Amino acid sequence: MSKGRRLIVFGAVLGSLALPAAALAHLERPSYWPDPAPDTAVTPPAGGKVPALRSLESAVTGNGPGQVRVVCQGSGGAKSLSLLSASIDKARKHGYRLRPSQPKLHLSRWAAFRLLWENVLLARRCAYSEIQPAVNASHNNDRVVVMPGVYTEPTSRAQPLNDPRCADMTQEDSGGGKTPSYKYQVTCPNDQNLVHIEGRAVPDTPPPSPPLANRQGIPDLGPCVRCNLQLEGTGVVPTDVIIDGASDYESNDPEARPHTFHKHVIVRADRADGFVAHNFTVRGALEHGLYIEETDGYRVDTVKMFWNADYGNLTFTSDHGLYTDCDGMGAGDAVLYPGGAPETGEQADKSFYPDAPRFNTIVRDCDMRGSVLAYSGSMGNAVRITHNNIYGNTAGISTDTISAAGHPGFPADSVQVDNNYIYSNNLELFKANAPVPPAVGILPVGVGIFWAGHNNGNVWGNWIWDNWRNAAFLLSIPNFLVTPEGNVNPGVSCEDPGLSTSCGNRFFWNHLGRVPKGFKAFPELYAFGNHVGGTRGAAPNGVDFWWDEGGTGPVVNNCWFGNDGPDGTEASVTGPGVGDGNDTLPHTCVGSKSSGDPVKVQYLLSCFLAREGELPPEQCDWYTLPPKPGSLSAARKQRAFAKGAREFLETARAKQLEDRIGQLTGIPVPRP
Amino acid sequence: MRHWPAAALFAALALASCGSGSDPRPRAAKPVGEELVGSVAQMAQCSDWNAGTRAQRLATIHDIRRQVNLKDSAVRTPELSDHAAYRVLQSTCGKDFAGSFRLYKLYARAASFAAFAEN
Repeated sequence: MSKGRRLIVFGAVLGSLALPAAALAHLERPSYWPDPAPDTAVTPPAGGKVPALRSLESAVTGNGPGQVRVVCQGSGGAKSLSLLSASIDKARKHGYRLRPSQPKLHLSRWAAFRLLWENVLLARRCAYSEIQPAVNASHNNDRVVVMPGVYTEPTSRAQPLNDPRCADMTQEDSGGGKTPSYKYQVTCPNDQNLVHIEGRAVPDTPPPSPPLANRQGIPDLGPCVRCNLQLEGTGVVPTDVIIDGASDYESNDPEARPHTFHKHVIVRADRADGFVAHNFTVRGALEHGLYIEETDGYRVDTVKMFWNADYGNLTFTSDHGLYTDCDGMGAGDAVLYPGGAPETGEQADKSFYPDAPRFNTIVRDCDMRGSVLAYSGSMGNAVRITHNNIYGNTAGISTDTISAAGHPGFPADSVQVDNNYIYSNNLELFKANAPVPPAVGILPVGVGIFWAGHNNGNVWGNWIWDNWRNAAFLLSIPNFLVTPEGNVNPGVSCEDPGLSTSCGNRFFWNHLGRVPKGFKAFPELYAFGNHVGGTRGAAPNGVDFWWDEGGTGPVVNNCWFGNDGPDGTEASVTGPGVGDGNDTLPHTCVGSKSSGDPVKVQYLLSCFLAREGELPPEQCDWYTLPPKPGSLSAARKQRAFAKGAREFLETARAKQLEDRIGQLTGIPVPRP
Repeated sequence: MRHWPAAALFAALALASCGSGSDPRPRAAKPVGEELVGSVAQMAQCSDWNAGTRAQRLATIHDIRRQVNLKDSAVRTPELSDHAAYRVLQSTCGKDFAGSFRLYKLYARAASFAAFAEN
């Protein structure tokens, strides 16, 4: 077995271990990508594009389309109006922020008056004290307007989990596992969810069993009943309206940690084409804060997501989505997770997506912080992540191509990460009594971007600094260890039929290890004891671009060019990581091929196998933050690692592993 | 020829005893963790694992396997044997920071490495 070929397999091993753990999503009913065309049975049509945000003023005038239902607290909304007045006073006196990383905004006297007056008018129409009944009464194009207050939804909370009424409405997959069907969610809406939005009626035809291999088009789709629904708060800031699934908070601060959780999902929008969420906070879920599934056209606009044990937001197999001006923290997995995003990238089926290639989901102007991961997305195809602030997490962005059952879209491709600030992701959560309990492990602390098995990705124009392990990881995932769900696309970026991931990725025009001018630190950057190495000038990453080089030969067309490092030059960019001494990052995209590096591949294997040995490459250090870049201890560790790695390759343990790889691949490992 | 049925039976028993992934036998012990719609797979975490008996842990593995290892025409996720799954979960859940780790995420990660799990 050639060195290069062997390294491909090593890379496969590491990838197969890394990815599911890194960004493994959730267990869900077999899901399908919605028809991307607008549903013209509704006027205006539902889906087919990101829905527009309707102004609060238009809710007051009642000009439509649709009806407005108002939810408030206190008699005639008195409590809500009192809370609003306090929030307005505070904003007028001190200013307010929509996101911690952003400058304060000023609320003008006129804007304050107008907001108060709009709320006074809305309070006169208030007919609900809980959100779920207002949603239930709504139809297509309607709006549910929620005035300030903390909404615990006591009626929903009182509904039983595993309601016997719906016991026979589960969907059984061919493995024998049961999941709640769409009918289950509609019939027992508050079994798991604090607020459930049924976008479409339950059809007479049951879902196909077993699920269809072709996931394009929902096979059991009913007509719209609540499409184009807008759910919105009426306060100054999203924390004025909190939809709350927990209790026993450590303080009255909206970001305080809860200790008792009551519902699995705070708001679930299911098949709710054209759904808009605006200006509220979802807080305290046993699983997910805002859950959007099988939806065409959605907008998550100025929404906060705090203390949701798995995901702040989980969106699954949904199209035409936009996240904007959002903010999340306290997620045990990721703040945002648009998983199973449709194949609208380089592998799009043009008969189903005639306007492809296009981005199906855009994440912009959000703060993702204080969590295990900022962003995750198994099989997250064609998502654009732009102009966000990603800081203070264990790791920043993770997109992978391996996942558990229910994630169609292999291999993930065509994600673009551009013009973000990705910094100081050095939060140590893999320790006893962590301030944010991690739901997912096997992640390296101190990483900005963790990409495994992704194709045709672009990472450009970002400022990435002060991530003490790496600015960006790129790993390869050979096919023989991957058994994805649904139809499998060939991985058009790659050339080798046995290796269809980690090709055609481009990293360019990024600024590494340097804080942008004008950046100002803010308290949330240091939350939960996050380590911050520098907030001005040079603030190096451990290694800027780490690459496994594990796809020697077949892994093609990856490139790194036009980036600048801590001193402002390309020469100060570091990568692809300490290896066997022959370590280079290709500058030229077309025709580039990896050369492999057994040292760092073995290092990764030791992490993923969790079978630690004596030498540094056998000792996984991912769970502890590396020394601050540039320090003596960091240099010392690097030297020790390289020496130990070379020694390991001469051991019997390394040869035993090579033999196993040879058995699996059918390529015998040559012995001297 | 007469040896074949016995050999086959022996092989089946051996597979069952080492926890073949598709073992359909009913289990007396209940799996650990909060049940959602008849399954603990979604919610079970390391703290539940650590509090369970060996029989309960094995029942948990079987539950998770049913959820993760689908067998649809287009789905063929690699299975992890009882032995390998138990070892992985026991090792990981023994760490003092792992109490809130979801077990199915750990299982799925290891399962995708099933080809190397018995080495």
